[in-house]
Amino acid sequence: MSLLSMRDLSINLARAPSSGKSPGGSAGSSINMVNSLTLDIPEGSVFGLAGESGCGKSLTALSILGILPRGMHATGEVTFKGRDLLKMDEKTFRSVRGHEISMVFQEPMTSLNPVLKVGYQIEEVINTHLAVSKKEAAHMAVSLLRELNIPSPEQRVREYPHQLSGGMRQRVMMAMAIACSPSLLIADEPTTALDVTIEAQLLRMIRRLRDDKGMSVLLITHDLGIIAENAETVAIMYAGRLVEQAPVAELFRAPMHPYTVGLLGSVPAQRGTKLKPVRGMVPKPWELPAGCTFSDRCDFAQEACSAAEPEFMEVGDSGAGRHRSRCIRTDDAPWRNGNNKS
Amino acid sequence: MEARGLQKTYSVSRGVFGGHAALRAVDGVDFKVAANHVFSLVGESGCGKSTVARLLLRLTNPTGGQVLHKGSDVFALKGDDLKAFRRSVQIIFQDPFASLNPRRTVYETLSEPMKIHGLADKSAFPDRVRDLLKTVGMVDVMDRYPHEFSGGQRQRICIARALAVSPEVIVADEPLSSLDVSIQAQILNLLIELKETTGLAFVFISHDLRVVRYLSDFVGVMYLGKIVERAPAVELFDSPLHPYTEVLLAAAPELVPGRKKEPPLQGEVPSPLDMPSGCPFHPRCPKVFEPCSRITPELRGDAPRAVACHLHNAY
Ligand SMILES: Nc1ncnc2c1ncn2[C@@H]1O[C@H](COP(=O)(O)OP(=O)(O)OP(=O)(O)O)[C@@H](O)[C@H]1O
Ligand SMILES: Nc1ncnc2c1ncn2[C@@H]1O[C@H](COP(=O)(O)OP(=O)(O)OP(=O)(O)O)[C@@H](O)[C@H]1O
Ligand SMILES: [Mg+2]
Ligand SMILES: [Mg+2]
Repeated sequence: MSLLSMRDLSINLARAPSSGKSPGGSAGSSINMVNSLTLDIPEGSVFGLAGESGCGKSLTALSILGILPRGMHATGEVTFKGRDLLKMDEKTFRSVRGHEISMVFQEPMTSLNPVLKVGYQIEEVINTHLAVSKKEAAHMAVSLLRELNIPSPEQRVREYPHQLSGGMRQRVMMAMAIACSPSLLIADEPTTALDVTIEAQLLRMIRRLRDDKGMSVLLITHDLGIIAENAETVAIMYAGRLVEQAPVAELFRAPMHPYTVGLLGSVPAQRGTKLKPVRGMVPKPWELPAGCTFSDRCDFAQEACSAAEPEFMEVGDSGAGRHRSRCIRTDDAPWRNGNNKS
Repeated sequence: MEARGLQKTYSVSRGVFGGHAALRAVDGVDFKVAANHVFSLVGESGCGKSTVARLLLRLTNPTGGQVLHKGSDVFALKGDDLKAFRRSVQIIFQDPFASLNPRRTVYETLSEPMKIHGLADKSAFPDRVRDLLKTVGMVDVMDRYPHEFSGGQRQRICIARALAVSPEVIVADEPLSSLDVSIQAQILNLLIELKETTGLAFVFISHDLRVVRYLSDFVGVMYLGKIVERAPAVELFDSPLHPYTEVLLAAAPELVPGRKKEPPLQGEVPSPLDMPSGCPFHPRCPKVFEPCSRITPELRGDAPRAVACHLHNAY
């Protein structure tokens, strides 16, 4: 059963009527940032969301928590345990946020308060959501850090963020996020700033939380290797849209969207084999090509691709809509045989 | 280009009452890179990679050791020799935006180094700039400014600028890490093409092992200011000798679904101010044994392979 299901989530940026300087469109209109996202995050599993910079991954995450930046507005449905988060009043939302759903942000330094001791910051989260004494909260903070493999946690809780290494700060963020045993953890590029050995430790922790506590995780990253090793399901996002979604093994075995194929072809693998990256670059949200948003960079585009945006349709033989792609050429899948250009 | 026993120690303040402490950012680094080859330095944040880059370019003075370029000591160069060195060794940085002057057009950015080094006649600059841009896959952009380009395009401009003076060595310090994967791959293809067509020597600095394996001929693995293993890339990735190299390779994510291995290593990289005794890696090493905390292993072996580990070298 799915813990969170998103139906046609769109996010638009309304522009102030006077902001003539902002790019594209006419003043007063709005820019579409995320378009009609539909996905389901099952209970007790890691759902990977991948895509290049600016495609809308973080906005999608922020909309789940109801904390979109000013001027951004979400429409559609985001159902969590039977309740639509987009329609929830702020007071109710406050009891969900940080408690049932929590998030580890992309930038650990900017999301910790520099003038408060890290122990206090963890205790604050606990005290807000759980009915425990101050003493119990302090005790929980220390044991959380111990669980996250921070050496001498009794001493660390008394330190300030700048006294910790990047890896430790990221784990303090993690401690705050899991303090109330959320059912859904959103981890937005949780390891980007970390060294590989620390990254591996953090990812193991995420898997352990899934296995031991049945927590679901929305794991946002641009690293397909991290997805491959840690997620059960993966969705690929391009220019504000999902272009492909599949069980992880299936996506890597038989990708069904040319953008996914290009992403996989961008990762250096065998020496001596030339990389086959996607050509060109990601268009701005206000300069999307007509029809399929990927058509201007696609090696397999045909005339029909510019006519209308393809549906997000079931493909492959996973069944139950588990493998979907937004491409009209999935029947002949010309990328499959290495026969390049159409 | 060659580094011999290269050392760089910074004096850093220990806080209000602490006085000063010596921070050994680079602690005895040796390697060579030949024309037409890529030598890569890998290692975790703070291990001294960028400091090595700055030393190779003579942007900072070493505390000990030498950098040799075509046999001569780079830090002893003066006058015309120094000028020739400045031309011959170029750098590409991680952040392509910070390293371009926002008020200069692409043409100005690319023609300036030619002017400084008196390469070619001024009337030949436009053609030369056009050629350079073509080499990095850009056309009709000479009159545009950096802010008009994406990160990947700016990195191409930086590469073109480095190539403008026909260098022999390019030092690239994390040139891909600020770029998206598809753009990374485009730049990586470009670097390989340059290596194959120009005979340049590259010193490539990265923490991305997939990229390093793909691009390099030789690799040096750094830990706390020291090279702990140095080997031809293929051998290093097929059969790592140093336990730290093994750990790094095991930790790097691969495109293989479900390969959920255990992270092999606990703990953080120690502070270079608080250097462990003996082997710098011994507090985290899964294979630590008796001599490791007492005796610092030297980098030894039959060229081109060398490892600094008591497991492999009798002490
Ligand atoms: N506060 C904001 N105001 C206006 N535009 C914004 C704001 N935040 C994000 N955007 C824009 O919305 C789009 C999606 O941004 P988002 O942060 O979701 O991308 P992302 O996929 O998380 O990228 P990255 O991998 O770089 O983190 C981008 O074009 C971005 O410039
Ligand atoms: N100017 C300086 N003064 C004092 N310490 C310095 C200075 N420059 C670098 N260091 C220290 O020297 C060590 C090596 O730094 P360096 O920048 O060479 O590492 P790096 O391997 O490039 O790391 P990264 O992967 O994070 O770029 C670090 O501990 C750093 O803090
Ligand atoms: Mg983001
Ligand atoms: Mg560096």
